[in-house]
Amino acid sequence: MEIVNIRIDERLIHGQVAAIWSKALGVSRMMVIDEDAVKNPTQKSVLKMACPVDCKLSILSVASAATNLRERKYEGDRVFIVVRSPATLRSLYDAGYPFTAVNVGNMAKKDNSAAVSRSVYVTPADVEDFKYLAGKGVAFGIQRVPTEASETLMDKL
Amino acid sequence: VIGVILTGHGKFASGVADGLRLIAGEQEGFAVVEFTPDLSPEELAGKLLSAVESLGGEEVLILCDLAGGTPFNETLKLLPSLGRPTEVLAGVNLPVLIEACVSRDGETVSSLAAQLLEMGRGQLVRFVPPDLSDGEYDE
Repeated sequence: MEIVNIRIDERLIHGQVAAIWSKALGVSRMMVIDEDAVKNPTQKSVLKMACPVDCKLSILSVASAATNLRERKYEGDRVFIVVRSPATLRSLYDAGYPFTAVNVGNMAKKDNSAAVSRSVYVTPADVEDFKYLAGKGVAFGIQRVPTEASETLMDKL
Repeated sequence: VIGVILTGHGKFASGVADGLRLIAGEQEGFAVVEFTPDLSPEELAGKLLSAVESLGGEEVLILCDLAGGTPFNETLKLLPSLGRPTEVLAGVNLPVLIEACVSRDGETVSSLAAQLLEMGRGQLVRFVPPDLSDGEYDE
């Protein structure tokens, strides 16, 4: 089992992820970690349709994901993890699945958010979560698609 | 390197190209030719020829919006004068354009065209709600 990317993307599985990243990294399993999606049949259907046909799909709570990843349940798979927010990653880290690098994709504009790049807006709560994880040694790179250069997020907060 | 040209009626080509950039980022060796109402077929042919020459690729893939439409017909008439291996596909959609741009490295234009034909046919999909009761995605 190899974790080929851990990505924050509010759109979860969408064009950039399904058509570009999955091919560029040879992904064999998409793992969506999202407490809402786990409970929502409509979201599950949409994720299934959006997932590339040659990729397996896992839709998991933080607790199940941490357990499965720790137990290396996906032997032989190249796993692409996608979450909606840094809060989910903070929970994953604290649930006992440490990681060192995160790809920041799309975080949409909200009422109390500040622009970090053209496609990344962060709320004060997001900043807290980024700083918490950065304090543990996690590096965050803003990169929409693999052909664009990655920019260090923490320099911009 | 394979040059890719997208051509179509009205703003089809520039619109789909805008979607391509949003999803896959800026593309090199890629050009758009629009068939706007002010152009004669001969003028469109001139634009297609200039696009091929300005891309300068050793091989060229021309993607058209509609088989039998003027962009497609003018493309076919130009083929003998392009002087390089060229493939033409019609009925192109966004998945085909993305795949063409990201998968062309190391390919010949004929094998690229064959792959795109195959994948493009599978990319017109009808949504059928999947069966979620077997717990497949909980694994």
